Amino acid sequence: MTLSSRIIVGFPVPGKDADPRTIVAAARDAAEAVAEGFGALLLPELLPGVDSTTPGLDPSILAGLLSAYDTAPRIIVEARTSRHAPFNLARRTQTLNRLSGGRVGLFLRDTGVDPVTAASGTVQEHAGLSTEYAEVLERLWSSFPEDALIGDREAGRLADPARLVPPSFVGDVYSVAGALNVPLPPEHRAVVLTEDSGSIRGFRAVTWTPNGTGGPGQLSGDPARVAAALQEGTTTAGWLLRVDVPAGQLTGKLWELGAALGGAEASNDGTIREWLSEITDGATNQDFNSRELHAHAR
Amino acid sequence: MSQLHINVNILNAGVFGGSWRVPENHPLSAYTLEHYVGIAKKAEEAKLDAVFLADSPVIEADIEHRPGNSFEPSVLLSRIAAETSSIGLIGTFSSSYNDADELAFRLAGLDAISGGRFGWNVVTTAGSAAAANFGRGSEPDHGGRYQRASEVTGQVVAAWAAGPDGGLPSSPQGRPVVVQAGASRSGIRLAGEHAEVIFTAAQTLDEALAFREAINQQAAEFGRRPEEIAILPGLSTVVGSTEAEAQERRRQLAGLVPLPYAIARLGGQLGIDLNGVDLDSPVDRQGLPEEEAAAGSKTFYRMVLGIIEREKPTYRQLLHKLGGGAGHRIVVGTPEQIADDIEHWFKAGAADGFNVMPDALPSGFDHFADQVVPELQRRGLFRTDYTGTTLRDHLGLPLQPLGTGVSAELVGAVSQGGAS
Repeated sequence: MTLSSRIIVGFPVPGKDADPRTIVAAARDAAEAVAEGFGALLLPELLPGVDSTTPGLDPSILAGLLSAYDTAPRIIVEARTSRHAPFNLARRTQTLNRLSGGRVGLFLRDTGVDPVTAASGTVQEHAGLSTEYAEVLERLWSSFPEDALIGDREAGRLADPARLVPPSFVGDVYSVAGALNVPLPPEHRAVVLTEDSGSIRGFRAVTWTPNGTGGPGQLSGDPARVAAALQEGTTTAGWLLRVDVPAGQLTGKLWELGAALGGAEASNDGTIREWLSEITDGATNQDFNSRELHAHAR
Repeated sequence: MSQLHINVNILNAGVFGGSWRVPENHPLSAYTLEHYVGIAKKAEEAKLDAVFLADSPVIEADIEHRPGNSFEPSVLLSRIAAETSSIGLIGTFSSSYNDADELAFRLAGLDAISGGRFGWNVVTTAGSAAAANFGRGSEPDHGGRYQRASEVTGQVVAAWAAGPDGGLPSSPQGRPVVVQAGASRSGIRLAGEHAEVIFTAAQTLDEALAFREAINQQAAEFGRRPEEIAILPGLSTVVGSTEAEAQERRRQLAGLVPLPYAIARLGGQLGIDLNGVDLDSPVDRQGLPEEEAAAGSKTFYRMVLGIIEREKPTYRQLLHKLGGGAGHRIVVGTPEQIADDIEHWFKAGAADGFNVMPDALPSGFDHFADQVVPELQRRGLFRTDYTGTTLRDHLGLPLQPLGTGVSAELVGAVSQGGAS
């Protein structure tokens, strides 16, 4: 596994004057650059009026759009627990994996209970919320195996309900019956990546400021220096690289950095699960996930 | 509105319970992306106003016998937006099980990336099964659901109107179009308050005219211009090159409805258990509750009651009549006969167009697009090309004033800003 393959590239906050058309064009270009030279593209969830003074786009909408293009990278969609009821988020992610053939993962940020869940009136407990949220997601994603679809025209049986695995989940916070209504083969399911001190757990965050002097945790200067720093640093699984430039300039910087990393190509083949398994040195996705979730719970 | 507006309702494999079993389509087609993208591209070639996706955040109890809603509509429509350039994109999203802020933001993004082609079909989502996916032991009552729908829709539309001032992308069509379905008293009130397009169900012309009158009154009470609300009844189509061929196809489709499914569905619609009932006995009207006392969708219940009272069918005849479909009006015939029916309703003022629900998908929509649409175009009833780029352009709907509390001057400014 090359170093490039271990780098998740964060899509930048839109620039001051960015309109949706500019963001989409920049995302398409960034997607191509990541597909050809890096591990995955992180699409951030920017809250209107909070994270940015300019309007952003919901990352699942952007991911749906990017799935249409021939050169699409693996994508990690960021989502905050306070914005989405688990059933809705599970369904959108599962749909993205149906469209992309299992190329989408989820970066789940623990920000509290969402309004729809809160309105059910049964929610009190907040500790360990994202652990429980992730468990609901995993169970929903595996609740409608693809092979439950039969399509037996002659017998008049479309699906075999006995093969569904409804979670019937009742936890401290969430209560979700299921099953999900989006079928998927097991190998195409998403992975949940969780948060750790401003980064994705296992991925060390670094910000490259090509035009700045660089502060704590930042790398400044030319691509060769950045490449050297990444090669010398140690991480569990890899890097979460943010580049402090307007979205429209990201692609150029990625090509420069890719060249500085020796032009080593990152393989764009395989699902998000396969990729994560490879860069965590053979640990299965489930192991990685369980370990991370367990660590998070502690 | 001098021309028809036509949407195709991509009701998975088609409107009837046995649609997925027709020999010409793959039985699992409705679970493929190509199904939806292919129909959307075909609809764009035929210059339709929009594709329409029904939805509910739940796996249907009858999945053993027919396909249900699957792909999440906002993600699916963003993919369709990338593969088309003009067709409108209407998706159904629940006001009960979405947060207004999050929904406004996500859907504004879909509208922006599609160049202003998005419309939101507001539904309240009936049923305890959906409620159980969101932490609820039972569904909110009908009145409560509609009260929340009114509030949520108001919040979403206000957020769209504020656009970049509220951190949302600006809409190329001023605001996304608000669509509403559901014709109970609460539904009509919600439509009068917010809807720009109404997807309704009407079996007879008189019913449709009475519905329009009710909508007009309700819209006027909210200070809105009724003439700028498009009413598009559902219309199930069975096309044949001769009338006999169409009738034969209709019979074939009725025969394909899995019987356990049809019985369970009708029982659910009527609120009674039909297991053990003699299917060849007349429907017992006296044993059925009145409309306002019925559970579930009141719109379809009223329509089924109408059929029972007019035609006094046996259970089997009623099953055949409904075809395991949603209870929308079914037209069966040649392209010319179907065009005649559409023209009659349109010219009588009973409909501004139709939400077309083909008998089987994708094949039944190919029949409609290749045969019925050209006939409507030949008669000057339907566009031969798009004259605008947004859904609002296609529908010919100007921005209407926001709900009460917004001054006419401000709304005028918003409207002009949106049109520029």
